Amino acid sequence: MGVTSILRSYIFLRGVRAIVTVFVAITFTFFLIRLMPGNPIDVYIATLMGASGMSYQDAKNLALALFSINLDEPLWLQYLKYIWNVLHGDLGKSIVSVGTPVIKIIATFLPWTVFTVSTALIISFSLGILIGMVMAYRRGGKLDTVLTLTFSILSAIPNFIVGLLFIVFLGVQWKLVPFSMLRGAYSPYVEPGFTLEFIIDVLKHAFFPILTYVLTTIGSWALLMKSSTIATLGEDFVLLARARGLPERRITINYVGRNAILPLFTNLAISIGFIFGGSVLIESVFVYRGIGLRLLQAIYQRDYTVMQGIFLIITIAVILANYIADILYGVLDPRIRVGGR
Amino acid sequence: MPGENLILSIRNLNVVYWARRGWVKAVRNVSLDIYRGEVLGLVGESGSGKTTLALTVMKLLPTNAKILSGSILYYGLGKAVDLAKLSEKEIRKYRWKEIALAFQGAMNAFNPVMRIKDHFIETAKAHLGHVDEEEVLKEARELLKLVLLEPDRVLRSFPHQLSGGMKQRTLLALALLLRPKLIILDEPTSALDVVSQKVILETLRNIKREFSTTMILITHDLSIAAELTDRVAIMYAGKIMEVGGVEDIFYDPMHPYTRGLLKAVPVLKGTKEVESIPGSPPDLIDLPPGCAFHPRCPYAMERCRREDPPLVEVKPGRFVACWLYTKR
Repeated sequence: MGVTSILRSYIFLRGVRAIVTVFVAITFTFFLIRLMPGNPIDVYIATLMGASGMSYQDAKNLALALFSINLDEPLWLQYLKYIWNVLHGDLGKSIVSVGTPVIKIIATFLPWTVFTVSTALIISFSLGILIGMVMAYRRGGKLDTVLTLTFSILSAIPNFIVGLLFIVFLGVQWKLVPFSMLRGAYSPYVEPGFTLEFIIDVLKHAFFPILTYVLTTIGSWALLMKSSTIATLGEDFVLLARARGLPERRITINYVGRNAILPLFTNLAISIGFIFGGSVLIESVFVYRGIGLRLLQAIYQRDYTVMQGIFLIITIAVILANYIADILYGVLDPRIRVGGR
Repeated sequence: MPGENLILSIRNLNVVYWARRGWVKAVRNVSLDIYRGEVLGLVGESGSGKTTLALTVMKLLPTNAKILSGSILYYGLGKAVDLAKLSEKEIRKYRWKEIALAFQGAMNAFNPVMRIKDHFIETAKAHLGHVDEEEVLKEARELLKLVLLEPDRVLRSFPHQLSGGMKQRTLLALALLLRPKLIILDEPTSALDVVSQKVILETLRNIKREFSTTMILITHDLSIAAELTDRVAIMYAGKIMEVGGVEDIFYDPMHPYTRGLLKAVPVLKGTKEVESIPGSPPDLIDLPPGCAFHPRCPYAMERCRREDPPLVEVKPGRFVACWLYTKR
């Protein structure tokens, strides 16, 4: 079997696993909503009847239309219809902002979160790796000691605390940054478009959320990379590369760096999920209009259809990110590629 | 022996490691000459300083090790160069181009994310600058054939796709790529099964015949030394105890430690009893006074407990560090 076909089968197998996971997530979402005692649909029907004096039948019809569900059908048929709808991008309609499709809400808010989260992850991962390697090469030195302590403390502070500290000190105490002007993903007076003004405005608004993510995650990358680099430096192939008279630069990048980074990719996949979860807090601290903030709003308003949709999308996003990390790992490490698992 | 035949001359070399408990005296006052075209066996138990000696020659010691004194004169380029005094930048030109090292870690000697062929290409590039990759691969194929491997399959492979024995032989081929004048083989057969060991030995014999490269063969296995080497140096507790021609060492061992080693080797024929040397090697941080071997030596005298015997030439080409042979 040629290497390309092995690679293809690895990607294929990982892909099958990702699809199965998404399917399980969709199934869970479906049954959670329906099998909970006092399920959101019943609660909503009761609310409608109480608030606007609708008859049970009217309230039920309205609720079912919003949830895209027919409760009179057998469960298996509802399930199949739900799957069918999800596959067509139909996640129902918002209960609170009546009639707005959930998918449209997600399409408005998700890109901003993906933008900030992925930018932050790229910055913190690459910077953390560089710093970690420097620390490993100078282990035991002053720089290493200072950075190890700093990073240990930084990664122990919850990210929303860091965000709050920014607002309290930079915004309120010293009045250096007008945080109230930086609410939302961009200023209302700037016309969205591919203009320099808009791009700068977007970056301004995203700056502090991104900085907060980076500050709170960079420490663990640097410390992980440091220990991984130290382990790799002790490997025989590094000693032999030096015995072969290879230039130090080449050994550092192709031998030490390239191999030390491999175990970090597993953590990269895991951290994507964590950051999505963290976005709920960070975005509400900075009032950044991303999916996290919208989810929080939906929870406050008991907007079940929106919650359900966002949960599903976040789950799919995390599974997708894991899948991409898996493929990357396979490309970077030939030993995994052949494993086929 | 005439000086122009020398390729490497180690003089009064002392190397220590810093450990928590104190200084580990890994190489103690070692003087050793290696002549062009010969295979020198460096034999000793694990922990006797063989590998440290090899790493010192290439200046590959870990950061907690230090060359305290001594010189390593290399004659390969016509004039004497003291390798011990070269900077990290200068020694790089000698590594692999002049002196290659194939060590026991062959299992893990190749970069796991790189194909074997790229190891050959980058090694050539590091020393010769811009090279024609096809030329390098052509040369690599020849060498891989010499070590009894399928060249194209091996070159295409990633390290994990080769067996331990194959990796060891690939490493030998890689060691020959730049035609070094000296190859140091550190335990080339340990960690391999008997069949693979046999193939390696055959390969080494091929190399010896084809290239007449000078080799230092580090091993704890006396039978391998007997099969391949011209001369043998016996090392114990960081010190050279005895040096001599391979026949002399095996048929007429002088140092009590060498005799003990030979008695500890089982034989297939005859009724010889296998005897081990009583006691165990000394702690290299806290060595006994006098000769390091005296606590285990059946011939130990009063003097052995006080003074460390120097390595002296008792017959032409025969060196022993033992008071039994030193009349002074």
